[in-house]
Amino acid sequence: MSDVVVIGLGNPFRRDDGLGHAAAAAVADRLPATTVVLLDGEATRLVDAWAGKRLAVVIDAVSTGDPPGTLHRIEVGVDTLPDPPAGRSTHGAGLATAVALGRALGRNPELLVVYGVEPGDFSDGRGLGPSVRNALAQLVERIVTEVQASCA
Amino acid sequence: MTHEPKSSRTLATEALARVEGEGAMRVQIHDGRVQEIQLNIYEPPRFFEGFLRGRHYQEPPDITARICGICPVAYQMSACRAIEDALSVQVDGPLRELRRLLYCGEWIQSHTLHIHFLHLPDFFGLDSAVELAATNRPAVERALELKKIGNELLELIGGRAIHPINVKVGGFYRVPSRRELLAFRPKLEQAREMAAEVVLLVAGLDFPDLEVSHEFVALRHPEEYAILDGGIVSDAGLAIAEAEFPDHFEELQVEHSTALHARIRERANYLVGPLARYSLNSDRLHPEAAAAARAAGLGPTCRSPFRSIVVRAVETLDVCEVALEIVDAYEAPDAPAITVEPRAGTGHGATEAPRGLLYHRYSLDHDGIIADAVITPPTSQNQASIEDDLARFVSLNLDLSDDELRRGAEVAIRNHDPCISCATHFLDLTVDRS
Repeated sequence: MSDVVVIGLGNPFRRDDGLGHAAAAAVADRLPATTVVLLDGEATRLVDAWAGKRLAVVIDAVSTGDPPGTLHRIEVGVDTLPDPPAGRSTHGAGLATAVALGRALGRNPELLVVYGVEPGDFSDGRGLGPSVRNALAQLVERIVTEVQASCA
Repeated sequence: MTHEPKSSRTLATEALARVEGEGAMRVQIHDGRVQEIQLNIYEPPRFFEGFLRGRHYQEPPDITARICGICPVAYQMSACRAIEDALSVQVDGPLRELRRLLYCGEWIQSHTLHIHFLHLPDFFGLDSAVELAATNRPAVERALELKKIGNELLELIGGRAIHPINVKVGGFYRVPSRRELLAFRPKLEQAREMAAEVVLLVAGLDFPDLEVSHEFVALRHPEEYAILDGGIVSDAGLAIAEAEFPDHFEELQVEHSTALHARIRERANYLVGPLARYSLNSDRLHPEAAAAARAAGLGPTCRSPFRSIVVRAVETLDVCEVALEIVDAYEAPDAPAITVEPRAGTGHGATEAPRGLLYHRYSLDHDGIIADAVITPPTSQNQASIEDDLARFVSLNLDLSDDELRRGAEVAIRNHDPCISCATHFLDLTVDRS
């Protein structure tokens, strides 16, 4: 599974924004042979993390307006990611910028999938809110199943 | 943006692009004269100085690191040195060298980020590094590799690349073995080679004829290109110890910014950062970096904000050379930190963040609890000078369209690599031609 990477994004000090790290840690427990990386979302480090991989799974909070706890699966290149915040502060240069930069440099993985959960609480503090906490097991199960299927 | 009669224009940029953090710019022009220029820093106040009060003296390196994800080491180093000054201890020998080495990692990643991802697109008329990657892929690939080595050096010494966790008052929690550092040497050699190529790349850019006359302020060390310590000097003759900073510099609140401005009490606004640092210290560069600077067309001083990209590239090469020297000479210290005991006192610490002089002051009670904290970041100190640069640029280019004027004004700001988040206590452009 060295050609697979699972990347947890987010900030564990902002409640539900910690779901990416929490889910990635749970995937690491289930799939010890898979490379698992925890990042804050900075674009250049994201490109480094997934360059040369066959499959990259990125886990993050995904806000679409659906009810908190709703699971999302976005396949980059098939589904639509928001446009990168072109020319804005580097502090806003995250996943979409990384995808655009990786594409320009030919460094994106063959398959890039974003798994996310609709957050309900971005307030200060550690610990996931109940809606995201309840969705976590199902999220991890779907990711483990997809990674295992890709390696079968 | 409004488009009014030529005699009366208002230009507004609601969110400045390719800067660290968020701010706006407003320019008012009346009868062909610039009436008012404002850098509006609207990131909310962050209150770091306030919530450091009541904290233990060992906490600021970890708390203040959170001020910035690009230059956390600068905050950690200024904090440590200020508190160690208050506690009357001095960290030297291999612990000081490890601090310099950690700081080298930060300069490599921060300068590489600004050169390629924020500044370089301006010289090619591009909007982003993503566009630059499409037109100059090798340069962006090299930048990613160079930045990565900087991050890895931060991880090696600091425990992680962003907000390092291994720094403490008195030294470190853990120090690397000589073998660990020597194992990293090939990457530093690779970084040196790439940094030299970056100097050649930026030396070949076209630079507008513009020089600034701000007073330059930077640290100066007797032997080194000052990063970690030194006296505070200026090209107008200022030469003071860090502890005298409050006697000669004052911070001012202005209505249009959540970041304090700063001025030299006896005179006016001033500039910190690469131009100041280089102009006051070019004789302290490593010989290889000095030779690269000369080959790139730099003299002993540099007053062109556009050429700051060359200075940053030379400084990146310099810290690669410095890092190699530190690694070669390193012998692990007997203990990862020196013992410090709490005592009442006030201490001052100034270091050279990638964006310029960063000053901290702490007052401790006899239990080592912080009674008062002052943090003066580089971008705060530079705001008034950046506004001067903007006023000058707009005054000289009133015949440009609003869009051209706005783009040029943003470049004038990016030349100084402002870190708005650090300063907040920043950029949208409004031009008012009335």
